[in-house]
Amino acid sequence: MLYPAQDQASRETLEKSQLDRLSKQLEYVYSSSDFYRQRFDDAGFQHNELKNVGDLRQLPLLTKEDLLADQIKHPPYGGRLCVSEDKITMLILTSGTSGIGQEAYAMTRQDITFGGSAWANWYYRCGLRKGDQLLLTWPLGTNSGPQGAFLGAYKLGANTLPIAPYDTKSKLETYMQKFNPAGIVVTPAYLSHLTVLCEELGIDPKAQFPNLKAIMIATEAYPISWAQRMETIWNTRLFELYGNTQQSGLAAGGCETSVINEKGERGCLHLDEWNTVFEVLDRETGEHVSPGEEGELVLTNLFREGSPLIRFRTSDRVRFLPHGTCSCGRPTNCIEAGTVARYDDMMKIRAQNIWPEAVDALIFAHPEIEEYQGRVSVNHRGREEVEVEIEFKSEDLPEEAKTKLLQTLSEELRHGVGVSMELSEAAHGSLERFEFKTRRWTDERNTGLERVLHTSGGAHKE
Amino acid sequence: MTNAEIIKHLQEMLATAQGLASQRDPALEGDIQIILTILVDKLRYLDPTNEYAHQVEYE
Repeated sequence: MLYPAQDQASRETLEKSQLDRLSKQLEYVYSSSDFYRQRFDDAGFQHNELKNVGDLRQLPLLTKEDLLADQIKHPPYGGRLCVSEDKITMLILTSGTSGIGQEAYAMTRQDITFGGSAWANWYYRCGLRKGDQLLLTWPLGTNSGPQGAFLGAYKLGANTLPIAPYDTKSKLETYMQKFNPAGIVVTPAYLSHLTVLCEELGIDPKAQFPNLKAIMIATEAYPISWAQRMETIWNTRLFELYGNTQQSGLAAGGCETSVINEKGERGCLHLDEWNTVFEVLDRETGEHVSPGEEGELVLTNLFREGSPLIRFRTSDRVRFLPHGTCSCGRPTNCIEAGTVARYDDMMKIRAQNIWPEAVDALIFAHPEIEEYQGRVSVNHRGREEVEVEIEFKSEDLPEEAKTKLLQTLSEELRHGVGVSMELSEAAHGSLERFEFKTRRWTDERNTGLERVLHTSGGAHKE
Repeated sequence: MTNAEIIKHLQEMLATAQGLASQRDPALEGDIQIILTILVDKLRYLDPTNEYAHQVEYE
């Protein structure tokens, strides 16, 4: 264990530390931010009379809409900014767009350092050490995940190779085969794609990448059979992390037991409760769920300095597993590996957050379009694909105009939401219309992950 | 070296770095802030239940 004082602490010690830190953080946000002072006062919340962490529940939950409204009122960072602007050293934006706006997070040096440390700590748990070759496949942008992955690797002292800009074949042939990595950071869908491409190129991962200690995955749920198959094919262990921008990095990470526990069941992701207070709430009752139940993850940053959040609703659906569930003995509560999902319609596609509303806005900006339907899948080569069928209002629109519009829209979607989509025309009147809850999107990736593994043959068959 | 000894050394380094940071020397400023955050960060991992200064308190 890298930090025995934390990893071997009692639950009581952890909770005492949380309470101490929470008291300081509440005082900090109250004294530094008009936004929080107003919220505390409106709720009649006396932060300096905090008796236990549960007292936080006297405060209302904070939503994305609250943050966006605050940013509109006090652009660009909102009244929740707790530092002077000269202390901001990086800006993080929620990836993709919800169609209603992106949350902006001012990061101070401390925020960046602390976020990197959470990753470095997790890499260590995954078995990586100083000097190990680590390949990062996530593109660096204004979202927090890839930055944390890089900063953590730097802090650990890993020999880091950010290979996101290269195509998959180059990643395999030019970088992975040449440098023989000890670790790879990927999304589950991309790992499937790498696996299929290995087979097509005649690369046996077991033989070609003997140094591989860990494949680190995040952003998507996956079937446990897929995880088992991947561990066999790559002859290494899979480790999962769950993170989000609002947590400022890594919110939960698997431990040495990997994503599959000793019983062959789904493992645990340990919540980083030293840095954050987590609640898992029933969406109907607002009460904390019981062990084994699903609920919405709500978080309160204990250290974040620039744009801290207090009781933020993530809209992420997690299965709560109490401390003691995992055999590693760490005192932290957990969530189940491989099953984090969304309550809203947001989809994670190629590590980007995509809200259907954002796609709606771009598509229906064209008055010629009547309806559309989207489908996210994993193709036979393990690639994530987004297909969108477009139905035009008029059957009489000339072919040339339709083709041109689809081309234009394709570019707009790529720039607007950050993901390429394959557009095609649907027959007039063929697409479903919605009278109540609009469901224009279907996500078939889990089926795709399973199918790719069952249909792929050759080198990796056991 | 024991954990307690490491913490003691880190606290001494932190005090020294804080002294340098207070000089506001442009040649030091950016890097000394990075050093401060690293020291505070390391202390909170090694000594999670102790008192350690929040950055806003020592700037």
